[in-house]
Amino acid sequence: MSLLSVENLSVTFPLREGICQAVREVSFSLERGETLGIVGESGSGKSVCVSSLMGLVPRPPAEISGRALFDGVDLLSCRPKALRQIRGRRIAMIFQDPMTSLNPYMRVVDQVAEPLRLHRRLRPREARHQAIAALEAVGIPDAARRAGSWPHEFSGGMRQRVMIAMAMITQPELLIADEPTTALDVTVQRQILDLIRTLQRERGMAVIFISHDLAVVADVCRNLAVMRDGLMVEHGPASRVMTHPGHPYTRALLECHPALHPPGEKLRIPPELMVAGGPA
Amino acid sequence: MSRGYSLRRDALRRLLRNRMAVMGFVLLLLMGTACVAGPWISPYRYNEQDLFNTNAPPGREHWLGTDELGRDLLTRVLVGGRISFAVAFAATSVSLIIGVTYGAVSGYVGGRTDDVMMRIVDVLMALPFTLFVILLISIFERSIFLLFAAIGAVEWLTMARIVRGQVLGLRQQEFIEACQVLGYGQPRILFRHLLPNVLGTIMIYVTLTIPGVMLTEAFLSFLGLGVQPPMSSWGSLLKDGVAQMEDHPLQMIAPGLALSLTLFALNFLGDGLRDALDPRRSEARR
Amino acid sequence: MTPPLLEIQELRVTFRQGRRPPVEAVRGVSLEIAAGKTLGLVGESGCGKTTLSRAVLGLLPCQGRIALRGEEISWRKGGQELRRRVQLIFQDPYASLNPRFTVEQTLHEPLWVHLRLPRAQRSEQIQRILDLTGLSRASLGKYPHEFSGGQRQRIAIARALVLEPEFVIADEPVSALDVSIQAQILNLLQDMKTELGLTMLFISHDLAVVRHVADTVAVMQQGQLVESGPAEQVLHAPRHAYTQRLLAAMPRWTRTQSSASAPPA
Repeated sequence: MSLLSVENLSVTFPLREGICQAVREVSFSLERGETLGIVGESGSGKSVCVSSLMGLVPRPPAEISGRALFDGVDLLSCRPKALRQIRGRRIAMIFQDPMTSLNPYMRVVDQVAEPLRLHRRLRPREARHQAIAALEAVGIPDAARRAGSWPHEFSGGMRQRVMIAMAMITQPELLIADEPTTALDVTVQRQILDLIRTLQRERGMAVIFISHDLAVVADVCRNLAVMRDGLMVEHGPASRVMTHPGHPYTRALLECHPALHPPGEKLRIPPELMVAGGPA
Repeated sequence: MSRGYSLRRDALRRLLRNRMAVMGFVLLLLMGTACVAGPWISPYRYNEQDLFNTNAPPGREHWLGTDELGRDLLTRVLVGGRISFAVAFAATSVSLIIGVTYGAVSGYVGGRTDDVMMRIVDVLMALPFTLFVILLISIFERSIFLLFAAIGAVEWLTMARIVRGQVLGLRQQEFIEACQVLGYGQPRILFRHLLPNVLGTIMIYVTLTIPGVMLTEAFLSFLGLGVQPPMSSWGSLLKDGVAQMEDHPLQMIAPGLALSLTLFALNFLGDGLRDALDPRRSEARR
Repeated sequence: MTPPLLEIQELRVTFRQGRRPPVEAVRGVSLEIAAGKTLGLVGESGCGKTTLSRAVLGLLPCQGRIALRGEEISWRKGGQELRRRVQLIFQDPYASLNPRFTVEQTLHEPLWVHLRLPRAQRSEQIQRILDLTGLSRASLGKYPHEFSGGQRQRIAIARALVLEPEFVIADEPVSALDVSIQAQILNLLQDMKTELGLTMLFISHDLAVVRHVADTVAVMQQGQLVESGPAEQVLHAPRHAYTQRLLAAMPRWTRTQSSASAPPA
């Protein structure tokens, strides 16, 4: 049985005039230890899709239909108590903005230890001990001493590592990363990507990696899915999708990447990418 | 060329959908109209005494009854409203003009000047207001203009602080930097670019200050420092009414109710404005 | 030999921090850009590239020599007239436009402040710029929030170009945009280069983009210039360790494709 099986997921938001279908009948499955990248431009619904799996999309006003079976439990219709047991413990999530993802009023060690205290009911000292070990595992230098610091004393890359430590500390089976490197510098991005890849291999953890950057995703994930306007238009092994994209939209996205063109040549913008009504 | 959907229209739309705010606005309009037009059409003058008909209960001739000197209570309440509104608007206008200019300049110029200007505000704020007003009134004769000035002189301090804070924040925004790069002079940047974007907050603050000012006036008049008889404001009416509280409670309830309703209306409108102008809730923004 | 359009010599920007030791954000950077060419300035956050751009624009006090067409410029003396010649395109297309101004007001203001053009001439110039940047006439009456990110960036570019400056600094102009929109804006900037002979300083952290637009590349690290030269040389055969690290940090696919599409040596 797949670890995660999403069937006909739809998320709709009411607007002043009409409705917005953020996610339309999306279905995919994820095996244990599989790495899946979901790529799309803004408005494609990629973030809403995974946020709804985690119960982060308030309903109302949103309307969510479909099923999302995580190890047999439907995340979209289970009792809140059941969801809380899974969320943070078996499925962990990290976000884009390292500035706002950490609580500025809590010491780093306490934030990293919190999931353990909550889900594993560990005593403070034991939890803190494991938290420091987790910080070391993600490459925070001098972890024991720095653990007592506050988030603002860390750089963006370090904060992202702290988030990863916090997410991984309960040994989750699935890690959802929503644009975790978009706000980081190029060299730091490389470090974080390598870290995620290493941890994933070490623990056999499944990863869903969301990004707007196809190339970044291809570096980390074995499989790749492309979303556009709420629909999942392509899904397959990254090696195949990047070289022989099946869907015209994917092909168009690849084609207009500057790396494909000799310097100075104008980028070919395929009609599939033009927004209705002229240049975007 | 199509007409754009400005942020102002968007805010107005949202405001109109807020029922409490609309109710508040309507109530204010009614109250205002009554206070302005009422005394004109009333058959009685506010200081017209009828010593044969004192403390009368509500009836056909006097809809709210009369006070201890036989004056028509309804007319007095409506005239009192005129005074209360007048003081509120006048004092707020004073505080607006002084406060906005002071705060905008302080926030925009920044540096040492800003420090000095704000320290002056801090010191002035620390002065006990009541003492100050009492001093002023005892030195100069009691006039209604003094009341405007005294209240305005205190309110502008908070307005200056708020405007300065807003300007400080906006000054960092990139479109202001863009203005500098485009070579616009400082006055242009301040008045055409910065202030219009601060207007929203100012408006909200104004609608929330007016209740405070009204209450202050009522309080001063209640103490006998504000408007003097026979002129009436809601505060002085309350003062008179409290004296008659046990036997003729309506003389206290009527002005009290009028004041309370007006304050409620202003607060609802102010809240509605704040929500309507909150850019985060704007649906127009993508 | 004609002097380069822009020349910077030993530029230094120091921030004083009260009691703490002052921070040298830019330490003696020298570079030059030939007319009609684009210099790509790369580096990570905190390297000083944005500070450098603000100093060149006279928004920050600095030491060193800045020269336009061989003549040294002084922001204190040059003032408003100088501003016509040098413009800036910001990263965030929403924050860089006044939300209360229509497109027409945004484009008209620079023409009025600097040139005092009568209405007819203003409209003509504005129309020219709209055509150049691919904006429709209908956009004139609209407000920034009614446009998408890519269109807002076009408006920002239009505003920067309406005075026909000699030199433009583009500070991460496409970083906040989607890939497909990015491509359109890059094409637009390319058009500006060929049709207006625009000289540009293009700041970016995205090496693939820089490779595409820049004739020469300069790399900054911690306030200093560590490497500079023709784009092909810096980006394909870097000499400095830091540049090599930046290139190695690119995703595998991007690196491979870049090498594949490089023009034959």
